[in-house]
Amino acid sequence: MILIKHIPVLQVLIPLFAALFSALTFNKLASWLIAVIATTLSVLVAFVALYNFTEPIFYAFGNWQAPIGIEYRLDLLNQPIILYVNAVLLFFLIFGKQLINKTITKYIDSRKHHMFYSLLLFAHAGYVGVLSTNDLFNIYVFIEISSLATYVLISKGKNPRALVGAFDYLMLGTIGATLILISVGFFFSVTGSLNIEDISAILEKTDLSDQPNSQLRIVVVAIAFFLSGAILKMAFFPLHFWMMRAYQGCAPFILTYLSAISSILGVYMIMRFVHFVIDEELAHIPISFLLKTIALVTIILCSYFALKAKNLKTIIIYSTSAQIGYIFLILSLWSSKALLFQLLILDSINKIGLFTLIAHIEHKSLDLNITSMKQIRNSNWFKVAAGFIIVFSAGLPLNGMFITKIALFDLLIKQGLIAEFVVVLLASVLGILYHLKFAKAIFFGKEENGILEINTNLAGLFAIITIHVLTLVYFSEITRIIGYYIGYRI
Amino acid sequence: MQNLIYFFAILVFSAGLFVMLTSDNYVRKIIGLGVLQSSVLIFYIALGKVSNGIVPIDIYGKNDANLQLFSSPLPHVLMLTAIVVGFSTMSVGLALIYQIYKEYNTIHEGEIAEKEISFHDIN
Repeated sequence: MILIKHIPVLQVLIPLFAALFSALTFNKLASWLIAVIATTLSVLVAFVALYNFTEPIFYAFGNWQAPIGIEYRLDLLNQPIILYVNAVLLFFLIFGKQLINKTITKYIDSRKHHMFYSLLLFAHAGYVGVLSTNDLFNIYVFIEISSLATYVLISKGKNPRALVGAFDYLMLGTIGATLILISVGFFFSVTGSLNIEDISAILEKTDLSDQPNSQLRIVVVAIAFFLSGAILKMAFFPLHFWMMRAYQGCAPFILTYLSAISSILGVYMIMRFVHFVIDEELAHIPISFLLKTIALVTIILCSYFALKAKNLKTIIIYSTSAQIGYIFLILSLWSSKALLFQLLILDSINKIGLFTLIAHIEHKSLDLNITSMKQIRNSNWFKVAAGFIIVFSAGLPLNGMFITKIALFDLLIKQGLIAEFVVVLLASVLGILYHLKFAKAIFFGKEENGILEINTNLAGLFAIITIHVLTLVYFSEITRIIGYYIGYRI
Repeated sequence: MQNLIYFFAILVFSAGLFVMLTSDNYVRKIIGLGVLQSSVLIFYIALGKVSNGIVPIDIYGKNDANLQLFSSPLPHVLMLTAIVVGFSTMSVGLALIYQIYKEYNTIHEGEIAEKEISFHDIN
């Protein structure tokens, strides 16, 4: 099969061309069908690539070999993430069809419904591109492709505030991307290359610590620009304020896709950057210190904010930020990459579940304030599903999150990091408390606020529960596979 | 003296950032965004310049004794892409401003915030 050779580029081209075709259909159902077919194809292709994996695949565009041409690189770090990202989009399209129609496209001009799926696929092509490319400038271009589609996707919702939020997102997202671009320029000026592996090889060869002159300083400045750009772009904790405004106005169901993927993408970008561009010896101590400080502050503050939040959606958004704090903490320990991806993927599945839950409620009642929540009645299956999803997300015993948290505590104690241990323990308690608050708002809404009945299709919620149960049953197998994959070359 | 152009780029970058973050009018913010992005163009093109280098066009044969230094053409090519990205970002931004104007009848941040507060009071 000649196509197997071209898998790296097919993974990006399938959603890109599907986006073009679905923009040309002028029909909602047809564009949905194209999106589903393209995504199924992407999942299959990603699976085939992972199944046949023996060593990192390098794909040179137009046969221009690496330092000159643009190159894609698939290895066991990014290929599983690509498969997961495709699977999330497939879930979103198939199980969310009803909710998409009722909570998102309802607010769009009926002649332009097909554009929603087109934009979704454009954003997806950008995400997969960021994940597979091995070229710094290419990363910038793909970030912008996905962002441009995302700005439009989150600008539609029941509330016109979504527009203002999307505009803020555009402003700060562009500043973040510009900072990344400046950082790429600095790397280019020092090494004369844009290829990540090439840059890392050149930096190793020149041995920057020997040279007291400007070279080392330029590299440090470049690292600072890249990290601040990535943190601003992905709205990690100290720079997350714009995200609160952007996400509060828009329809919660689109966040099941965007929020789940963007945090994975940001962590992946920082990881690839930290491990491949920078010489580990040189940057280990300052970056670990920086990441650990950010992580500890994030964990404790975001958990506290989530507990204090007055809106269901705000709780979830702060909870996402707090989880990114845990991930930064693990990243700063530099030893347990398997744990990192377990936590990242499990948290992403949790957040998909919670946002879907909220989307079901938001469809019936526009008010998501905790104090004025309506009582949910006659929707027993919904309550069952909600209970399971909240328990899974809170990290209570008997689910993957719980086992991962225990592994994290174990790691912290083994490394003798008592202060970090206390912070994580405290944050876990806060985590359970805000999940309780969340559950209270859903199960015990006051009758005087009104009554609502959930009669939307609940298949999506049960699919998430099934996935949770499967991850729990096959936990050791998945851990082994991820552990092997991540331990493979870092 | 040769580093002067980088200071100019920093100046343009700061000016753009200042306009973006301090102005109340959304169209001015977009103008600030455009200024900010052009600073990157200056920065990159300055990187490509080689002192005493000529325009990178191959007018001499390979065996010519007059082989000269060329400026690097790569940053210029990269900036073509960045210009396109900047242009499309600006278009999306202007489209969003148009939608905001249709919803709120104003493009001033302060006035929209006031309307938001009164909107909350009604509900």
